Amino acid sequence: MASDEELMLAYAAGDGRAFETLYAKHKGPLYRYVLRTVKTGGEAEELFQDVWMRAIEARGRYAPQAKFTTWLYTIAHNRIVDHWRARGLTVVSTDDDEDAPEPAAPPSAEPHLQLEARRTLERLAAAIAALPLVQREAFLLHQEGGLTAAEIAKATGADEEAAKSRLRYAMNKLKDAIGE
Amino acid sequence: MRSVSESGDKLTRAYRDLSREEPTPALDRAILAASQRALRRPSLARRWAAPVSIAAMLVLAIGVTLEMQHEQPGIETSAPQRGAIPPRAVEPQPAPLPQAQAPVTPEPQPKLKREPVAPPPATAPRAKREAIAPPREAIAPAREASPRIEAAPERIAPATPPMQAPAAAAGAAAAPAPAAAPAPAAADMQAPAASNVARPQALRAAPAVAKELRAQSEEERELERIATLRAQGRDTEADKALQEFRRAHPDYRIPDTIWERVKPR
Repeated sequence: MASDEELMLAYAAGDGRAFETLYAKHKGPLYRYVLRTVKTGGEAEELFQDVWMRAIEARGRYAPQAKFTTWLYTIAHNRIVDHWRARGLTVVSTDDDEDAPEPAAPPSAEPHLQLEARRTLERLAAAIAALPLVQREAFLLHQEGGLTAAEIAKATGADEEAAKSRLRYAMNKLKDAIGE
Repeated sequence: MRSVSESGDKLTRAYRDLSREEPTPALDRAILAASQRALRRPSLARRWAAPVSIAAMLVLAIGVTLEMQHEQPGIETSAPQRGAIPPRAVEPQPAPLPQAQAPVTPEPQPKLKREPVAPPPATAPRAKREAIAPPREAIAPAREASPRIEAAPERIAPATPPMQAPAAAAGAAAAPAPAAAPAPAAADMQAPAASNVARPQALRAAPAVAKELRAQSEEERELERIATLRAQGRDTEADKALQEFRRAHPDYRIPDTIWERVKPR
């Protein structure tokens, strides 16, 4: 099976199916990363589309020097930073997003376990939303993009130690929130 | 996709249960359609490639023609000094066979020179002269037609033995003197290759680094241009330029200090 990098190069060479494969693989994680970073459905859709459009337009200049995911999430990060900057860096909300779909409950036959699981998810969602911006982004890049601390540093333009530290803080806070 | 190396199991499981949102089918369709449209539409570079190539060819052809016209008086004045042969005498096509034989059998030529009856055109001395002098003139335009970069190393390594030059010189000099390709031309044709071989390893690696640095400075220059537009109050142009910049360099991180100067007002 072709790697992401090979698929992107194939798309740049004119293979439309390669892009469909790439998109199918990355659309969910990228969408959730954007959604949880900006926290409103409308903005997330606009930014998500814009990120892909930029990737499409930059296909001719794509060089697989880094992982495709690092490149894609770097574009996403830059787009989100532009979005924040355009709004004076105050747009980030920690409120729960009413437009977002309800989190699905884990499969469980027991009603009281379902309720407990649901509460856990609610606490987790609230804890993610309450994370400082850079920690939340590090956590999402790790969970959704599968990026390592070094790749998070590269995608966000941060120092690797800083990226590690942000990820560690985020994980600890979220573990506390769900009682792990 | 998700790494669990640094994640607690419970946290990872909980997050997976939580994070199931997907883009809407309408959004999927829009993006996939855009990806297909982009393939059908030639990129900006491809669209302009043909017109720019034609324009470059025209400029080159006109440049070479003008250069040749400038050089023409020089050729006319220098030709008589070399052998008192009128410039027009160079124009008729000499038979290739006598030229080829001229350097091999030099003895009959003085005899022909001394004969007073024979008119000067179409004789062996002229053939000999054409075998020596005209190729330089014939090669000169060809050399000028080639990029100037190639001309510089020629002077650096003139002593290189002419290995491929005769064939190349014959090709360049075509009709006037195919057999008697002169040594200077040989050195001319050989020198660039020789200088390439002698180039140090570090210099060969340099273009990649230089390209990267150039790309970086291109982005910075473009941002400076946008900042200048902003400072001049030409916000519409600056907005458009910033959008174009983002399209061209989606993975370039604009530093905060520069962003302050280019950001939309």
